[in-house]
Amino acid sequence: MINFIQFTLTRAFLAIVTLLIVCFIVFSLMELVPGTCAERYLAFKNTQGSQITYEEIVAEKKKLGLDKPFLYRYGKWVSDIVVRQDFGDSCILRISINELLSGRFVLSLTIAITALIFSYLIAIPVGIISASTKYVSLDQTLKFISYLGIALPNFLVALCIMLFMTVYFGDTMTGLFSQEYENVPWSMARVRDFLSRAWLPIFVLGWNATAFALQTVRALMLDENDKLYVMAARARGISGMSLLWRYPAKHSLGPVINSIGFDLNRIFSALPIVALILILTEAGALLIEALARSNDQQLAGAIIFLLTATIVFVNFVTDIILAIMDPRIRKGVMGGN
Amino acid sequence: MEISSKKKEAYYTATQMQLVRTRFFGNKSAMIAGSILLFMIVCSLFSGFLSPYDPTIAGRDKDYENGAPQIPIFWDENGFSPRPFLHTLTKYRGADTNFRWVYKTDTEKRRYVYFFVKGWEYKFFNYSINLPGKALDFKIPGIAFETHLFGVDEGGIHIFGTDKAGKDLFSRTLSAIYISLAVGTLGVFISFVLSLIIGGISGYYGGWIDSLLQMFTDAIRTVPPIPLFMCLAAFAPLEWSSELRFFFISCLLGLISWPTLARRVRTHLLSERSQEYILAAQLCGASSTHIIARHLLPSFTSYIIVDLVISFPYMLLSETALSFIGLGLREPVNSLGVLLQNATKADVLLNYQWYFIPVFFLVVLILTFVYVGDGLRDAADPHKTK
Amino acid sequence: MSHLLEINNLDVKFDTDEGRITAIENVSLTLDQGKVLGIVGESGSGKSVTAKSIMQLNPGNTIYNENAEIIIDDENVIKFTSKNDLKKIRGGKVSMIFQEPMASFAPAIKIGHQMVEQLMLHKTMGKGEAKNISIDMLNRVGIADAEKRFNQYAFELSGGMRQRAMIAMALSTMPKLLLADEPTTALDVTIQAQVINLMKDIIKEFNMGVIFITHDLGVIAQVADDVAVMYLGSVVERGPVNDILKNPKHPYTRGLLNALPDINNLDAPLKPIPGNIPSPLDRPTGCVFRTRCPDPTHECKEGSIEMGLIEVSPGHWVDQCCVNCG
Repeated sequence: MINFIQFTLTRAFLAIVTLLIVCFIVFSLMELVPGTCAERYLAFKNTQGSQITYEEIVAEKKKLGLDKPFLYRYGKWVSDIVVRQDFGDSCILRISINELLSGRFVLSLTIAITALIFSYLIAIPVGIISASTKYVSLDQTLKFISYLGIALPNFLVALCIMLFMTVYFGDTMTGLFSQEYENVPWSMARVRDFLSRAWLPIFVLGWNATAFALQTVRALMLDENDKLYVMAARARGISGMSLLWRYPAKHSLGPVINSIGFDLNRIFSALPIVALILILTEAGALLIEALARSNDQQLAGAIIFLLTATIVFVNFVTDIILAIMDPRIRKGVMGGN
Repeated sequence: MEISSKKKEAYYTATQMQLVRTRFFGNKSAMIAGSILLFMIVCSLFSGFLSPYDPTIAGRDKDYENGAPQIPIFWDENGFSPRPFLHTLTKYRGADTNFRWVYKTDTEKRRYVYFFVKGWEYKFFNYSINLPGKALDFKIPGIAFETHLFGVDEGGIHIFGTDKAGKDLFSRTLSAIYISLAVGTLGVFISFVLSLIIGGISGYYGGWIDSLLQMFTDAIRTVPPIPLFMCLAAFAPLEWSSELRFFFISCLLGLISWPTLARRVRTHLLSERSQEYILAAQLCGASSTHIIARHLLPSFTSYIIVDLVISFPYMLLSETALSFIGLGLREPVNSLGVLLQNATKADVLLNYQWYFIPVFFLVVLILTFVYVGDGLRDAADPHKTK
Repeated sequence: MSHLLEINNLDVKFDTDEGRITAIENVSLTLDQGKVLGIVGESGSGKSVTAKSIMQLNPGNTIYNENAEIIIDDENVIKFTSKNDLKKIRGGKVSMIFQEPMASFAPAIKIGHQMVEQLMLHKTMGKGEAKNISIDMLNRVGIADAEKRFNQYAFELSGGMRQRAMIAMALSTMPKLLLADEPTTALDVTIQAQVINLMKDIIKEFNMGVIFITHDLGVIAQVADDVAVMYLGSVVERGPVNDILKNPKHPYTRGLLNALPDINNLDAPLKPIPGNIPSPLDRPTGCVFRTRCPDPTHECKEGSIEMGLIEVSPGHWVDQCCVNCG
C-alpha cells in the first residue's frame, strides 16, 4: 500500500512539473504577441472612435502591472491560477476571464468527453471484429472506412452535414442552444435542447476519434493474436467469443487506456475549428476569436492552459488506472506478497 | 507450385532494401495508392505546364465569374469531331433570371481545344528569398516557359469552373496541391531534423539528459496541437511576404510535430542500444560514431521513413485547417486550405458546388499517403509473417 | 488391441508468398495407452507441425491432404470441423504443453482462473468443484502452497513452477493423450530432471499416452518407450527406443548419435553430420536425406527412389532406401 501511495505521488509530481513547463510555454507565447495588453485595449478603443494618447497607454500599462519584469509577471500569473483560480481579465473585453469561460469550458468538456466515449464504444467492438474476422473483404472495408475517417477533415464533415441539413431541412443546426434557451439557467428543458443540438459536434468530433481508435485497437489485436498464450488457450478448447474477449482483447486494453489522454488531445485540437463552423458558444470558438480576430492573449493563454491542464490530469488518472488494472504493474508497485 | 531456383537465389541474397521493396510491390492496395500519389505529385510539379491559366489573380477570366465546370466534348448535335471542343458562352442578365448573371450556351459556335499552346509564363526554380535584412535577399531567376498542355483560342476553358473573381479552379487546384505538398515536405524535413537531434541525444545518452529532454518533449506533446499552432501562427505579422509566410508555416508545422517523432526515435534508440549486437560492436572496439552510423541508424531507417510518410497527412491536415481559418497561408500563395476558405458560405454550398472539387483532391491525397505509409510499414516490419 | 492414436499418411503443406511449402510428408505413427512416443529431430524437421496437426492448431494457410488419417478413439479427428468436435480434441481428450510456460499462460489472468475455465469447459461441474480439483492438481505436480499459487499470476512463479503449473493445467481434464512440445528445452538441467521425473510418475498414474517432442537424445533415452526420428518433414526411422539407440539403421540417426560427445573420451573431436540442412523451399525429391548421406547409391542421388518405411525387425521401421544401402 505504501508503494502505491508512493507511485501516485511520483506521478502527481511529474504531472505538476509538466504543467509548470506548459505554463511557461503558454505564458511565453502570450508575451510574444507584439504589443501588450494595454496597447491592444487602447487600439481597440481607438477603432471604436475614441482617441488615445501616449500617456494613456503608459498609465494603462501601469494599471495592468505590465511594466514589471517578465519573471515577476509569470510568477504572478501562475500563483493567481493556483491560489485563486483566477485567470485575470480579458484584454479586450475587460471582463473576468473566469466569468467568460466557466460555463463555456464546461460545455466544451462535455462535448469532447462524450465524443471520446462514443468513439470507444464503437471502435473497440469494431476493431476487435476487424482484426479477428476471416473475411478479408470485411476487414478491408472497415480499414478503408477508418482511413476515410482520418482523411476527411473534421470541419469538412461539419460543413457537409450543415449543407445537407440546410438544403433538406431548412434548419441550420448551428449553435448549441436554440434562441430561447441561450442564456437561461440550467433546467431539464435546457438539457434536452442542448442534447438535440449537441449531437452534431459530438458526431463530427467522434467520427475522427473513432477512426483513430479503431486503427489502434485493430493493430493491437492483430499483435496479440500472434502470441503463444492465445494458441495455448485454443489448445485448451477455448473458442469463439470468450476466446476473443478474455484473451487478446483483455490484454490489448492496457495500451488503449494509455492512449485516452492522447485521443482527448486530438479531440481538443479539432474542437475550435468545428466550433467555429457550427457557431458553438463554447471555449474553442472563443479561442479562435481571441487569436484570429482580437489578439487577446490573456484569454487565449487561459484557454490553452485549461485545455492542457485537462489533458495532464487525464493522463495522470489513466496512469493510476493502468497501474491498478494491469497486474504486472500493480504487483510491481505494491510489492509482491 | 514449383519455385525456380533463380528466384530462390535472389530471395536469399537480397538486401534489406530489396526485401522491403519487393514486399511493398506485392501489396496491391499500397501499390495502387502509390501510383495515384505519384501521379498527383508529378502533375503538381508540372502544374504550370498543365494549367491553362495563371492561378493568381492575374489569370482571372473576367467574362466567366462563378462559372460552372466546362468539360470538352467530342460530340454534339452538329456531329462528331476528333478534336475536343466547347460551346461558347455569353453572359446574360435579365428579368427572367432575377437579374442574376447566368451564362447562355450557344451550341452553334464551337471553340476547339488545342494542345501545346502558348499561354501565360511560368517559371521553374524561380525563388526570391526575402529574409529580414536587405543583405540576405537573393533571387534565383529560374527557367521560364510558356507552353501549356491545352488551351482554347478564344473564350475560356475552365474544367473545374471558376470562382467569384473568375480565377480558374483547375489551375488553382493544381498549384494548391503543389503548395500543400511543398509546405508538408518542408515541415516534415524540419521535424525530421529536430527529432533526430533531440530524440537521438535523448535515446543515445539516456540517464538524466534523457529524463530532462523527455519531460520537455512530453510537455509540448500535451498541448493540443492546433490551438498551439493557431497561437504561434497568429503572431506572424501581416506585413510578411507570402513566401516568408510560407517558410514560417512550414517551420511551425515542423516545430509542432517533432515531439511525436522524437519520442519514436528515442524509443527505437533505447531498445536498440541495449541489444547484444551493439555490445558486441563496443567490445570489438568500435567508436561511438561508427556504432551510430553503421549499426544504429540502419536498424531503424526503415521505421523512420515509415514514420515520416505517416506524419505527412497530419501536416497536410494541419496546414489545411490553419489556412481554412485564415491563420495559415494567404493569397496569393494558395494551398488547399486557402481554396476551401471560400467553400463555406451558404450560397456557395447551394449554387456553386464545384468549389468543393479541391476537397476531393485533398481527401485523395491524404488517403493515398495513409495507404502508402501503411504499406511501407507492413513491408518494413521483419516480424510480419504474411 | 487398437492404438490410442494412429496417424496415417499425413501430409502438411503451407501456402505462403514464396509458394506451397511441404512441412511434413507421408508421416505415419502409432501410440498406445500408457506409452511414451518420443519424436526427435532438428528444428524445422516437422515435429511441432505433426503434433499441432492432431489438434488442428496449425495456422490458417495449412493444407492437409485428403487421405490423411489421425484416429483417436475410432474417430478421424483431422476431419473435424464443428466447434463441439474440435473441443473434444482441444483440451478434452488431448492436451498440449508448450516449450515456453510463461508464454502459454495469459499474463493478466490468474492461473487459477485459467485452470477453472478449462475444467468447466470440458466437464460439467461447478466453480467450487473445479477450484478444488485444480488446487489438487497443483499439489500433485509438486507445487507447495497450492492454494496461494492458485490465486497468483504466471509472472509470479519461478520457471520450474510455471512448467509444473502448465502440466497441472493440461492434466486437469484427464486427457487420454498428452502432447509435450519441447517441455524441457527451456529449463536448466536440474529442473529438467525434476520435470521429467514428474512426468514419468504422472504417466504411470494416469495411464496416458504421451508424445514427447524434443531435440535432446538424452531426454528421449530417459523418457520414451518408442522413438520416431524426423528429418525435413519425413519420418526416417522409428521403433523401440533401446533398439534405435543401440542399432540405428538410418544414416541420419547414426549421425545424431555419433555427434554426441563421448563421456569417456572428452578430448575426442566432435563428429557433426556433414553438410547443411536444405531449406524447406528446396526439399529434395525422393529420399530427403540424400544430400547428406555418406553413402548414397545411384538411385538415391537421382532422387527417383521410392519412399516408405520398411520393417527391418519387430517394430523397427526404416526408410526403404537405407535398407538397400545397409
